[in-house]
Amino acid sequence: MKWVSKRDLTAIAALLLAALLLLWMRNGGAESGARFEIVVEGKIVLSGGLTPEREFILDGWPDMAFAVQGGRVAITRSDCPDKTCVRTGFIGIPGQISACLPNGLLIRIIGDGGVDAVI
Amino acid sequence: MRSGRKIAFLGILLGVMLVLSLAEGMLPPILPPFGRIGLANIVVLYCLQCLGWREAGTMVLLKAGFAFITRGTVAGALSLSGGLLSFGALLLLLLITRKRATLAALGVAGAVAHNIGQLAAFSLWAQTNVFPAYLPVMLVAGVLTGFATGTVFRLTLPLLRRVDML
Repeated sequence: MKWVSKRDLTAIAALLLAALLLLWMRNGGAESGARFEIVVEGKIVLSGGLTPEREFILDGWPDMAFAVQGGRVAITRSDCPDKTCVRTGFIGIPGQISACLPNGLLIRIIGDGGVDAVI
Repeated sequence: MRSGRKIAFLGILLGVMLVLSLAEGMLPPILPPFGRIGLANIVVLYCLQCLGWREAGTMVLLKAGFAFITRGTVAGALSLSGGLLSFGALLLLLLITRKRATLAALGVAGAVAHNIGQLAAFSLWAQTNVFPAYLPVMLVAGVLTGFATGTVFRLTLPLLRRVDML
């Protein structure tokens, strides 16, 4: 079996170029007006703007903490075993999510239109 | 190959696959929350190259089943969608190149398709189109990790061929 061919490198270059193009399009999108939604089992339990800076907790979730900072939002504390949600850190680009699978909770960022970001 | 030996061999391969996945899970993710190297894909590549597509498909399903049992519905669905799309991409690539695809190409195609499958499942689960935010990073991650797994597979293939289990 051959390891790598010239055609592979062309295809890889094309993929990287596509990624760059998508990244450029993403940053060109409207970042202002983005909001966050905290969703539990498909239901939005809290929705808010990415300003002003604040820390908060949710009713019924004493072991989790959230923070809004620098136009982004994060799960800052969680009692779940894997802590993936906390490690995800701050998110603020429409489409980004920070999910805590063990707790069945997630934060998602929606664009200013809201509807266009939802399937 | 006699069926008893074959089932035992596939069991060992599944074990290898799960250990690779577990060991990788202990490393910090390259790109939280999704980014992982995908070493377990090497087993799928091995099955495709040395056994057959049925065996490779079986591995994908068993791994998803294991994720489902041990880590829950969401992890199972993510593993299944990523695994199936990756498997489909590998079959397609082998078909259009008449089985002449290079190992690097198989690694990259598998990893990129795996990431796209996971993003699709995540979009459904989160009821949010996550592609605009994550596709660029996941494409680059797929290229890098796929190239890495393809290369590791290339290095291990001569050794694996000496394992005459069949």
